[in-house]
Amino acid sequence: MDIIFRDREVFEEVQRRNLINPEVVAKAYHIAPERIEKLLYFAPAKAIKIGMARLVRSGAPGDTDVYGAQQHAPLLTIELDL
Amino acid sequence: MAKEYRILSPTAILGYGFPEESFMRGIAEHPDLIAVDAGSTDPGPYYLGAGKSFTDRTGVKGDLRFMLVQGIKNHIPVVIGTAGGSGARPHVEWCRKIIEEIAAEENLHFRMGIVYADVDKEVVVNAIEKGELISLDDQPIPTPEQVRECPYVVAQMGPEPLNHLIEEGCEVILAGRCYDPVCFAARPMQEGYDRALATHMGKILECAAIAATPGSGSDCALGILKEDSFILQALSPERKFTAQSTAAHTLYEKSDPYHLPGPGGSLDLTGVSFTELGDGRVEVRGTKFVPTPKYAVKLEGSRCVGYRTVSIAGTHDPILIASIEKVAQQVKDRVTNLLLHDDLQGEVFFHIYGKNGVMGNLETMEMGKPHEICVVMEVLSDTQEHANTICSLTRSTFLHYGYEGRISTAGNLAFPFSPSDIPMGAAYDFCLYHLLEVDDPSALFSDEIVEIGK
Repeated sequence: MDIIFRDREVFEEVQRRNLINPEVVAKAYHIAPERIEKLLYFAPAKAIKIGMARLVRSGAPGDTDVYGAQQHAPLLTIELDL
Repeated sequence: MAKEYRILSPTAILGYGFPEESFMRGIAEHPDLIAVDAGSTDPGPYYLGAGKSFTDRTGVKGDLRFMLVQGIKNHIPVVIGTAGGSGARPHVEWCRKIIEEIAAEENLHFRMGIVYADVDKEVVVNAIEKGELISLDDQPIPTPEQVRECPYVVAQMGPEPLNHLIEEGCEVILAGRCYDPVCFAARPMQEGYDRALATHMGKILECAAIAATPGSGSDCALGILKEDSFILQALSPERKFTAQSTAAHTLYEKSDPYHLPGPGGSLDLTGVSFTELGDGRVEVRGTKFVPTPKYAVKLEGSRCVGYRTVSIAGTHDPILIASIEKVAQQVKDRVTNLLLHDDLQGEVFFHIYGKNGVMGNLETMEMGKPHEICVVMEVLSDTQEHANTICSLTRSTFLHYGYEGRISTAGNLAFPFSPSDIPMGAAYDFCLYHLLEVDDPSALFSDEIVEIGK
């Protein structure tokens, strides 16, 4: 999942203060922080890349989202104090 | 090598279509190559396992017709990568047939090179037994039995296997499973252009106008590769490439935007700059290629894990909705019991939309009080007949189940369709998504050259 910021200043402040980090994301998803496998800041696109392992392989029986396209809603609950 | 190499990318996936005006604007730019990525593993394991295309034949033929007619008429080579959606032999044959039809209908004559990505399963088994298969993302190593259960196993080829076909004067190259940028990068690399820049440009061009703004996977893009940079250009007046849209595209489908691994090595984007040229075009420079000590290709394979039948129904009863999770479990338990009596094996999954259909166990929200929900019953069993039987049992049990507090007894579920149960055929699961190291980048990939329309 990617979070892309509109404002470079906001992105830089968030990065500087590490406001979006594995603990914050894990809390939004009600999971342990260890399940956030990757979280990095990509300055050229003012973006944060988040990687989380799937519960079920794509398209395996019982999967709920083959493309993994609709798992982002909990990110919208994250509030930042800027 | 010439100062520039121009590549026209008509669409993000062959078959998605594109506006004729955009394509012809691209042709007017005198491209040196028309190339398209024809496949993906995004749609899941079914298409590779079943040997079928996820793209529609009419759409694919329509797109190819434009590419081949303009390509051959204007002496512009054409390259198609990951043919037929998954790039195994049946997918390549499927696409070849479409090309032959177009050639006959349009009276086109050309030399076509075909390169296959199918890997001998015993080569993979051998690597497993020697402990040489490399896991990605902690995926378990498959057993030899599981590998042999995959109807098709492919390896993502790098640019090297296409060189021979380029040297032999193939005007059209039809390739099986490729590392996505390869269908764009192979030809300019053969002419001496930088591997890192060609590959990076290919990574963006494979998505056509998705990296432009507003983005679109069914609109064309032009890439201009130079000695130490490349330029991206939209071919529709309402779209343009910006530094932001191009940089943001680096995030797409990648777990690390700074290091993009591929056959032979990785792209290092730590020093990349994206510069707007002020006319809706962006120039990219600074990509580096870091070779791996040993050349590795990524294998893909999916195996049949059973047969599936589904039933779709809704419910609007507030008492049932309030206790849906409990009732679903009770239905499952009742079905499991009945199956034991009949010695039938199967798995039952409920997808409850309105509760947690999309996120499953990852859902964080409470259901609340929706006035309706949708229950999709998914059954997996060893044969289609057994899946049908178990689905029928599950569906009728659910429909008539006397759950606690029930008031309306006419039927618990609203079916939109008659028949209510839908046999879905074979179900597959990816079991190969691993790296295989090779001494020769081309050894795994066989090819042939055919004269079309002659």
